[in-house]
Amino acid sequence: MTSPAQSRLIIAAAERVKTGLAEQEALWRHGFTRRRFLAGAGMVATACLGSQLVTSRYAFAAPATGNGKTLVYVFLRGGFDGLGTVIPGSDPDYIAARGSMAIPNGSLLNLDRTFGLHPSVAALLPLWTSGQLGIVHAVGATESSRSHFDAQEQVERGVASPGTHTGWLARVLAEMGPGTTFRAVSEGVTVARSLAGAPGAIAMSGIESLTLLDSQPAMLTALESLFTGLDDPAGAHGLNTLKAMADAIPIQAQFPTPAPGAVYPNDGVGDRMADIARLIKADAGLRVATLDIGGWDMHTNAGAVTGDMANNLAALSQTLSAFATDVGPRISDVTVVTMSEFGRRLARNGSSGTDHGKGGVMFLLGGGVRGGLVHGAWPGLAPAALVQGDLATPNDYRDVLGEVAQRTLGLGSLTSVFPGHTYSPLGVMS
Amino acid sequence: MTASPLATSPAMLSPLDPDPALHLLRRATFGPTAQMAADVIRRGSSAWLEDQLQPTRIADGAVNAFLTRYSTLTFSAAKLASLTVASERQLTFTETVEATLVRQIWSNRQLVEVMVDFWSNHLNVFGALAPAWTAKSLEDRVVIRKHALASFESLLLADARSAAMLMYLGNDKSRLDRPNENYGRELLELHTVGIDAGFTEADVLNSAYVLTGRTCDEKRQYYYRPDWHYVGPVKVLGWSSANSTASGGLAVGDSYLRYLARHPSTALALSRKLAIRFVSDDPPDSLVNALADVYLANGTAIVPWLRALFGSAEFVDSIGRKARRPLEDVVASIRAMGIGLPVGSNKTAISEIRAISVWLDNQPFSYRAPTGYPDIASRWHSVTGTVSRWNVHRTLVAGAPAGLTYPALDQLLAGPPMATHGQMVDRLTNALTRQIFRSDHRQALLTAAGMTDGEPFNKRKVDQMLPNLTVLALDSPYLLLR
Repeated sequence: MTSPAQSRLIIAAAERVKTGLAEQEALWRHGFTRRRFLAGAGMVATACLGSQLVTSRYAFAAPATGNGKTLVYVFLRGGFDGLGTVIPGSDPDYIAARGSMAIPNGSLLNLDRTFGLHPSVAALLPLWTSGQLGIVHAVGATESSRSHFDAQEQVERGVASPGTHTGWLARVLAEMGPGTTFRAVSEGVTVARSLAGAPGAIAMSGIESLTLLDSQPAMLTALESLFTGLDDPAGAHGLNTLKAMADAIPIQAQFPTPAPGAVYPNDGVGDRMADIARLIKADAGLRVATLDIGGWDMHTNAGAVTGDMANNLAALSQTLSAFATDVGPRISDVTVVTMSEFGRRLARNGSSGTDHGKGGVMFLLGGGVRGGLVHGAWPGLAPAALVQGDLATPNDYRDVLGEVAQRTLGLGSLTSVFPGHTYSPLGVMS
Repeated sequence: MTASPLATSPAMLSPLDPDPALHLLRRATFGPTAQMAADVIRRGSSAWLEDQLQPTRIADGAVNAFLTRYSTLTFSAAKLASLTVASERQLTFTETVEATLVRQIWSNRQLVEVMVDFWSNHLNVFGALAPAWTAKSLEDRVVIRKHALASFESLLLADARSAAMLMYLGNDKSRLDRPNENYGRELLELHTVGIDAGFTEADVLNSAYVLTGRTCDEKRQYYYRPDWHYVGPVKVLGWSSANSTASGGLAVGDSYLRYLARHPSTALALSRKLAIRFVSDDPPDSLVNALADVYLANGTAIVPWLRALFGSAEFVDSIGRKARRPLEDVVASIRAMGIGLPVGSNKTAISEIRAISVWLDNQPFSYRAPTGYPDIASRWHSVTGTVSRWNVHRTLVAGAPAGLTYPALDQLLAGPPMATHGQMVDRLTNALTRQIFRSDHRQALLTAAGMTDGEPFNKRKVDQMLPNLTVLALDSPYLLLR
């Protein structure tokens, strides 16, 4: 049975998370938008539980599928302000509409003749220069909604019509066949909408968290029986959990800390990204990983050169930059793509923030990316070019995701992945 | 509440005991206890439910006495507004959360607690952030708890005067010349008519205009500020107003909120959500439509609506079709084990339960997005989450958090002498889950303990194996499902 000492470990771990979270929450004194960090189980130092456990009875090493490469899908939840990140700094329409929120041209990190990066994105500049970071601007879904939830549904399904229930990544995986327990992982509390319908996709908050106190073989056998023969998804999920616990053991021994120089932000999100890097380095068979980063819905006090948006951008940049350092040469086997449900309106609102808009920005990071370029057609910000006050979307997000999936995972036709969409790649991958 | 004959209808394939009284307890409470099971049998399901719908009829002395240790729970609005030290303000939030946990675990007024949880998620405010602490503490009392069993209309009107909500969705900064659409949009999309009601972007903007002026001062106290109110004709869906004066803007807004509360689309959206909470993740349209009719016929009153829900055939047919969310799992486990309130003034154990809720990503009032915590099982299918739940069961069985009143495990076997280990397992599972396990699951427990069904009862061996058997019963689908 579990000893009192072991049970104190759980309480102590929970207390550390509670205290850490309370400290973060206390820092956010001014507004509700500053809520980037993830809560949770993932932040727990469950490593302290030790991994003296679990039989190998459930462990099986299914052959890894695909070409050994990994697609990391980072969803910037809440409506990422692409115009406030990759900025047409000398465009008078931008300066006029954003007013006090506009970033002065002199503060921008120049990318090309049109665009400069928000200064808080400095950590990504070396990756841009070395050709591993590319950007797509004015990208989105032409038929998109201004509702967060509708728009997220649509882009994570990859189909406008609600008749398709599976996520676009689930359909990518269906093209690839089965794989290991860690073939499709959402780092976080829930399986991403984009993976809905993918058999065996799991949500987890770090490989270290998959350690059961006091798991004698007899107990695991009983748990297996208790979750067998149930007419409820809880049954399959229970069995999945047992298998993941067993398969985690050999991986838990590998790469316990990030590579030297890889410094992730200490905000919950960084740990999740570090875990994705760890699974890649450990060759766990990870083909698709998803990560949610919240806190972009900045209706109020978004700030300019400094402030909420700047803080969020700095953390995002540091997360991506640390990941690139962490995976090292394996970056050639990885493509990270970021996206959001929509961009934000060109004009600022009454609360020094921006309301929901349309065209946005996607970042692409990896060895196969055509980096150092802002891809896609640029419609500009002249009043006639706007769509209901928003940046237009001449570039369809599916053309970007499709190309990334094809070139990273070796996918063939995209007909089943994006049904009804006429694929027209932008050339974002080399 | 004993083993029932094997069910034959497809809805009854669940391993959960189909006894209607037990089904009601699993759904209308945070988990059956031995005491509540006895109460339902003594009073009868209907009378028990009527008591729960009028909770002041139910004595709750022990919980109320314990809650006097949380001094901020009775702070007046003015007192809350006067707090300036961050730690004092934060304490108002953490005490609100811990009082919620105490009530969920130990209150006899279980159904109102379930509805407080329901409305707190429906009208979600992320209360854990510094700006919200005191406002959420007040809102919990004067909005959510006060109206949890009243009417949705009264709840919505109160919510639209809550600094917590107005700050959370940015309405405190929304002015006639620069409206912030956030609250106006979510009021339509999440709180009332729902995304499919056919509102347009113009409706969203008008919704924001109607609500301008509802703001709060620097002490986070709600007030209506006429000079920020947009004046002029406004129209949303089928509602419109000349909205011709700034001073009349609050009344115009109330008229708009009443229209939304009584809108047929709101009736459907809320009834679906209620059915998802109490019936299944994908409730039948027949039930949703019937509940919407009851909701509208009773002027959005909540009690007749709940009565219709629990009296419906769809409810009766939904045995085991819901899964507990992580915190519900912890609460139900503590209730199942018969663990009591801390003795004396020890609040540390409650703080540790709160830590566990944070660890499981399920602390009350702490979901970041305005949707509130998901109430669909698949959204919680995290392997980390499940391992963590199982670890919490092991922790509880080992006697932590320290300071709660833990009965000795062999109290779970109280009753007449048992002849065999098979009888012992039945006694144990009945104490923890109010039912006998399916034969293969029963056998799994016996095997794990190195026992056989007909083997004579051996006290020493049973004492040795009780912790593991208790853990397995808590891990099992019989506690996970409800």
